[in-house]
Amino acid sequence: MPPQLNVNIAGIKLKNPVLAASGTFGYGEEYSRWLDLNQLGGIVVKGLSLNPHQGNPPPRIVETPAGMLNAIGLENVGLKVFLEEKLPFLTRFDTAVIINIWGKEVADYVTIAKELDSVREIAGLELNVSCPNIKKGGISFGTNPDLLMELVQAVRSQLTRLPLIVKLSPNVTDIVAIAIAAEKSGADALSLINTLIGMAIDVKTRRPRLANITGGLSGPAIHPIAVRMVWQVAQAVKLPIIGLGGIMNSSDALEFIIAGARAVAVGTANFITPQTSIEILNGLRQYLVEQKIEDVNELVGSLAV
Amino acid sequence: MKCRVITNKQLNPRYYKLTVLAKEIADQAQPGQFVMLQVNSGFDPLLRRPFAIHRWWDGGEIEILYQIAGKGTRLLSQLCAGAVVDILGPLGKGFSLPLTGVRPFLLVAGSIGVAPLLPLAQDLISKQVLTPNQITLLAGGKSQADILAVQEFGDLGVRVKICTEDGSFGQKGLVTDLLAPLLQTAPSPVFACGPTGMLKAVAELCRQYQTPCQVSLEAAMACGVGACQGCVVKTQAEHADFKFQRVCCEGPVFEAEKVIW
Ligand SMILES: Cc1cc2nc3c(=O)[nH]c(=O)nc-3n(C[C@H](O)[C@H](O)[C@H](O)COP(=O)(O)OP(=O)(O)OC[C@H]3O[C@@H](n4cnc5c(N)ncnc54)[C@H](O)[C@@H]3O)c2cc1C
Ligand SMILES: Cc1cc2nc3c(=O)[nH]c(=O)nc-3n(C[C@H](O)[C@H](O)[C@H](O)COP(=O)(O)O)c2cc1C
Ligand code: FES
Repeated sequence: MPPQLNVNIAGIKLKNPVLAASGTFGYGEEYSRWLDLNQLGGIVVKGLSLNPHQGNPPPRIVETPAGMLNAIGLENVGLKVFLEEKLPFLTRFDTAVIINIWGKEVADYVTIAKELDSVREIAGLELNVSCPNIKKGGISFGTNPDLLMELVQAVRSQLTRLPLIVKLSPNVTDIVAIAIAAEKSGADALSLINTLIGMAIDVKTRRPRLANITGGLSGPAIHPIAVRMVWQVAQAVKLPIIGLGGIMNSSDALEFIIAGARAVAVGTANFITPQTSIEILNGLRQYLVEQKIEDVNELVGSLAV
Repeated sequence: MKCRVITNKQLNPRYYKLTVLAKEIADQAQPGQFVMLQVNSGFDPLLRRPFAIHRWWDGGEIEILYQIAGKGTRLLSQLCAGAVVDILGPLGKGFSLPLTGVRPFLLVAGSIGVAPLLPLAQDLISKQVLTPNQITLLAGGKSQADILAVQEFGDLGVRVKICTEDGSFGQKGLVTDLLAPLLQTAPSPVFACGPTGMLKAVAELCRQYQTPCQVSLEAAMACGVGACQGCVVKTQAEHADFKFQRVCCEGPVFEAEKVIW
C-alpha cells in the first residue's frame, strides 16, 4: 500500500502536505506550463489586498549566498481582479486554494477577510502579519503580541466558514510568545516562517542593492532558522503548523515535519526548479516506504530528543 | 529541461558561445525570447541566469552568446562538451515583426546586446519582410573584443557598421553617433539591445525622429516566468502616472516610447 499523505490543517483537507508558498507561485497560472498543478496539496496565492497595489520600485531582488533578498512591496492585482480574472483559473485544478491577505491597518484585513469568507472556491485564509501597521507608526503587526491579538481577533470574528492561518514573522525576539498570542486570539493554524529582514550593499557605489534598501531573505540560507522556530512553536501551541523557509528538497521538508509541521510550503525553490514540489512529494513517499511509516501524520513532531 | 552541452567555445577573453541540445526550446523559440539557465546544481549561485537565445536550428541545437559578468557566467564558462545544464524556456515576449517592411530597418547592438538581434535579422529575411540589404546592423562596444557576431550578420548579407569607444575597431565613438545621421536622412524602424544607458539614448533619438523603436531590456530576475514580480520596469499607463511591467513576461522587448527611463 502506498503511504497515506492526506493531512488536515484546521479543517482544510489537503491531499498531500506540500503547498506552494505565497509570493513565489504567482496566481498559479504562471507555473501551469511547467508542472501539473493538480499534484500540489495546495497553492497559497500572492499576498492580496483590497485594492490593487503597485509595490516597490526596482531593483526589487538581489541574490545573496544561498539565498535572495526581495522587496517586491506586495504588488498585487487587488481583490476584484483576483476574483474575476485569477481565481477562475485556479479553481479548475484539484488543489486547495489558500488566500494570503494583508493590509495597512486592521480594518483593511477585516474587509477583505469578510469578502473572501463567502467565496466557495477558497479553502482558507493566510494572514500575512509581516507588513507595517500604519496606524501604529509602521511597526509590523507580527512583531508585537498585542497588535497581533487585536488583528487576529478582529479578522476571526468576521469569518463564518474559512479557517484562519496566521503566518508568523521571524523578525522577533521570541517567536513562541507571538505564536501563543495568535493561538489565544483565535488562529486556527500557523505558518512559519516569512522572510528574515536583510540588506546587501554594492561596495563599489556604496549604495544599497535594493531600491527599498532592506528586503526579505529567503532560500536555503534561512532553513535552519525556520526549522528551529517550527520546533520551538510546536512545543508551545496545539495548532497545526505549516512549515516553510528554504525548502529545496524532500529532506529539507522532512525536517520541518519531524520538527512538528503538519504541512510544508515551497517558496524560493519554485524559481529555480518549478517542479520542486513534485520532486519533494516523490521523495516524501519514498521515505515513508523506506521507514515503513503508513501515514505521514505519524511523522509529525516525531523528533527524537 | 536537462540539456546536453555540445560545445562551449571561448571567443575572446570575455565572451563565450554555448551550444546545447534543447529540441523543445528550438522548436518554439521566437527572436527576442530568452531562457533561464541553471549554471550549477549547488546553492551558490542560487538563481538561474537569463540569456537571450542567439541561434537555433531545426535539429534542436540552441546557442547562447555570453559575457563573463560574475560568478554565474564564470561557472558557465567551465562547462565542457557532454555536461548537462538545466534550461527553462523559451520565455518572454520577443520582437514584434511589422509586416509591411518597406523602409530599411536598423538593428542597434551594444556589445553582448547583439545576441537577440541575429535571430531577428534571420527572421526578417526568411519571412521576406525585408531583403538582407534593407537591414543594417549598428554594432558598438568599448573595444574591438566587444564587437560580436559580425561574421554571422555578414553571412546573411546584412550591412554592418561598427564603432568602438576606443576606436580599436570601426569608427571611434558611441553607437548613437552612427544612428543619429542615419535617422536624420531616413527615419527607419529601430530594434535595439544593449546596456540601459545606450537604450535610453537610442529611444530618445527615435522619439526625436519619430520612428518606432523596440528595445530589449534587462533586469535582475528570480523566476523568469512572471511569478515573483522581481523584474519590473516602469512603463506608461493609461489611467495612472505609470505602471510596473515584468521584463520576463510583458518583455523583455518593449516599445521604447512606453518605457519610463
Ligand atoms: C532577458 C535577458 C537576456 C539576457 N541575455 C544575455 C545574453 O544573451 N548574453 C549575456 O551575456 N548576458 C545576457 N543577459 C545578462 C545576464 O543574465 C547577466 O550577465 C548574468 O545574469 C550575470 O550573472 P553572473 O552570475 O555572471 O553575474 P553576477 O553579477 O554575479 O550576478 C549576480 C546577480 O545579478 C544579476 N545580474 C547581474 N547582471 C545582470 C544584468 N546585466 N542583467 C540582469 N541581471 C543581472 C544576476 O542574474 C544575478 O542574480 C541577459 C539578461 C536578461 C534579463
Ligand atoms: C519574491 C517573494 C515574494 C513573497 N511574497 C510574499 C507575500 O506576498 N506574502 C507572504 O506572506 N509571504 C511572501 N513571501 C514569503 C514566502 O512565502 C516564504 O515565507 C519565504 O520566502 C520563506 O520561504 P522560502 O525560503 O522557501 O522562500 C515572498 C517571498 C519571496 C521570495
Ligand atoms: S523574474 Fe519573476 S516575475 Fe519576472
